[in-house]
Amino acid sequence: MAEQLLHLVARGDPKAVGELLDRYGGLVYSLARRFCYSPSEVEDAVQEVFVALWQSAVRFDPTLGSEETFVATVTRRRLIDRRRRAQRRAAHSAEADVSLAASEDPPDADGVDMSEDAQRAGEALSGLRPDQQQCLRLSIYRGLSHEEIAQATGIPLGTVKTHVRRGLIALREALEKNPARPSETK
Amino acid sequence: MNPPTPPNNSNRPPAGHSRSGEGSDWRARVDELLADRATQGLSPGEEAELDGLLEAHELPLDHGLERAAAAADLAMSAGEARGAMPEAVRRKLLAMGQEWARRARAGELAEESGRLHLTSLEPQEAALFEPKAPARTIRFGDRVLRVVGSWGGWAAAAATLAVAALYSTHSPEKPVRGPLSLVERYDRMLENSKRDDNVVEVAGASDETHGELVYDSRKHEGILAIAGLDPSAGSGEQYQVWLVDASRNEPYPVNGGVFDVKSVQNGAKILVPINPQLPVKAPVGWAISKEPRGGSVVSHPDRIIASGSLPQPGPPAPEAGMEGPGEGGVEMNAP
Repeated sequence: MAEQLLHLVARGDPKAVGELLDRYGGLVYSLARRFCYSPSEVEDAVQEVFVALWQSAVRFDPTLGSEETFVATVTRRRLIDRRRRAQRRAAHSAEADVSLAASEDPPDADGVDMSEDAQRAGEALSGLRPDQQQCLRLSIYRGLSHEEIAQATGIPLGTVKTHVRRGLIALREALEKNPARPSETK
Repeated sequence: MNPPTPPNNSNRPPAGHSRSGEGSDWRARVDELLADRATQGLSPGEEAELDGLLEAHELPLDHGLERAAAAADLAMSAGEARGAMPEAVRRKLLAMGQEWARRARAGELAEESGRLHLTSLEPQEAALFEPKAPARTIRFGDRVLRVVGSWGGWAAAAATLAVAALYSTHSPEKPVRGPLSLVERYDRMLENSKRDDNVVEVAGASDETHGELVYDSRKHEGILAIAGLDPSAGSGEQYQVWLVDASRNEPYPVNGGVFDVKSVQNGAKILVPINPQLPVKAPVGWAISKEPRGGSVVSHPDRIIASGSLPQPGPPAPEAGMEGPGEGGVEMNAP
């Protein structure tokens, strides 16, 4: 079995480092654009994410999920952390303007190639109740806080949190249905 | 380097597991915190609470909810055109990555808490390869604090690297144009704390409050960002800030001044500028107490309502004893 790209990165394989950038640079950059507010912030965030990927590459376990999911997990953790730090600095923060434009819904993904993880998560998502789906979309894709979701939708905050929590647990169970998955190398 | 070891795959508390006298409430709280962390992040207080619960119930750190959120994100964004990152950004990252790989092959990496770190860093590299030191949970009296610091635990090596020459110049400090607002000053000090040893960030959290002090020991000034304090304006009491200075022989904190909280908005933090009358050369902790209006020369541990500290040896923390000579209160206006 070919060694995982991330494990090669952890061992200092120079080609693997370039390959990681080529393979996932677009993903990381597009996620950063969604979480950040300025181009220079996007660049800083992308840099921080790739350093985190090099540092945590040793932890990648292909039996838990795909390489792409691992990259997205590390990326989201860093970006959420950055946003949280930025919010803490904005002590005079005004209420977030939470207007939900229809054009900001996730784009149609029919017929698009996806990793197995993403496919399973997408299927599990579409099987959830509409209000759970809405809360997860607003939280995960739009990056709204639970309080902002409650404000925007009129759903009580406690209910938003319950929808998000139960929705994530359902997605996790869908991903874990086949735990001993073969490694996905491209 | 040894082959990577897969992490522990049992990521949920075993059925029926509970500590005596606690029922299943803690499990619901763990799930809630994990879901929050996977979607909106946690406050320092919540991070500390989650760490405490995971440790107390011997649960692993990974529960799969962040992975689930990431997979869902990939599904939701599958239809959007990702495009390529700008070439200049790619070139810079490739250079950094090649340097990282070279150091890895040379055996300059060590694993700590499941992450690889360079064992030697020039000062200018710290901001690139260790942008933020990992946060740690410490106990401060009966409070659990989440502390981040500007130390990275990695000593700078004597070897000179040509790393800086590989990168385009990108100064992280924004140019100053005219007087900065308090928020801009705070933002700037936070950025400086990542690369300037004279500027430290000291965080602290309790059940009700959480805050961070950034202090520049060269300029003898700091800013405390604090949330969770009740309004004090119009009451007979004021908040007073105390700074713990490791460079002082006496175990008494330095008075940082008094301030009022006029109103509270949705848990937002207020910024309190701090200019202590005595220079604080090595700030390792802070505390806020509630005092009679005008402040106190001497306070008491019972009056402390928030605190933060770095895990360094030094004089006793404020809770251990506040009696002793101090300075008169200095009135400041909260923003």
